[in-house]
Amino acid sequence: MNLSPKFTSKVLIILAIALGVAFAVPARAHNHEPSVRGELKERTKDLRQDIKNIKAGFKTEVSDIKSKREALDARLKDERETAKKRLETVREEAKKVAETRRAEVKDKISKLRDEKKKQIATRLDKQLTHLNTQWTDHFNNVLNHLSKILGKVELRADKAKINGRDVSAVGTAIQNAKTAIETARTAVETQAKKTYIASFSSEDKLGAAFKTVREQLHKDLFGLRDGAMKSAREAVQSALQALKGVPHVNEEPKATTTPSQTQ
Amino acid sequence: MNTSKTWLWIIIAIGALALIVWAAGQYGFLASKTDQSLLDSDVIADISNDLNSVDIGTPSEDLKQMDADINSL
Repeated sequence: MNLSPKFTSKVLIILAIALGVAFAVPARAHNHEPSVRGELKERTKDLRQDIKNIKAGFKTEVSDIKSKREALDARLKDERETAKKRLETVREEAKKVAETRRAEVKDKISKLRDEKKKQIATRLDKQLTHLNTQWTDHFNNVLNHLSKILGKVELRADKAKINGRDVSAVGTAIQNAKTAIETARTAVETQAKKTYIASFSSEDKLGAAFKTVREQLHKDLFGLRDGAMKSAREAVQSALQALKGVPHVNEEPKATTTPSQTQ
Repeated sequence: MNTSKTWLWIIIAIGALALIVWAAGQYGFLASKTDQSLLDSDVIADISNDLNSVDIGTPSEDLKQMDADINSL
């Protein structure tokens, strides 16, 4: 059976048309159903909208964190400068108050007959003031550092909150730490206000007078260190500990959160 | 003919690059430096190390240095 190429191609064209019609008709019929396809389209649309909303929400939260960080940086800078100024002010006030007493002691030292004792007494008098300034400055710097660390704890807790974690315990611990730091700042100021002047009535009581003042300075500095300063550090440690207890706390906020309510 | 083909390739390349940049932006690969520092600075291990480095210090040594002078008075 010999078929001409012309005939074969005609048959093929007809078959192709038939196949086309065969597939197209049910598909069109399917389209007329009010049904699954339309519903799927709607759901896809809804899901796309949800994803858009989540992304928009995420962007807002991330920009919230950015502005919070900036605000925190500004607050820490302000806190540092204010504390420094307050320390300088109280020192100046204390200096003025003790001016007369210091002048009296200086005068007494200058009248000492023993030249060596005169030099030592002058040196000790300066050292007592210098040590108090040095250590109150140091404690103030430690408190600045603790504030900065607490700021980091705060930022990390905010991120965990965005990720849906419960950070209420961390919030309380942060507040406690802030209070402890503020209490310590006040204690440092109180210490900075103090003046250490060895008053003596006669040359033979010079050593005992300086010993008493040295003991007082020792007691005050250690009292501050082991009291308010340690409490502030422990309070920041507790805030960090509370933060460590939050599950997956190191996770950065992600835009890929599964939409919980799609309808 | 050749010139128009070259232009066509250039346009396709630019389009592809734009698509890559857009995709990178969508997946957060183009975060700014500020974003990076925000993300890196506050992981728990870093905060812990920072806190461990806080030294309240002790005035003992400084006070002891005065003792020799006081004793010689």
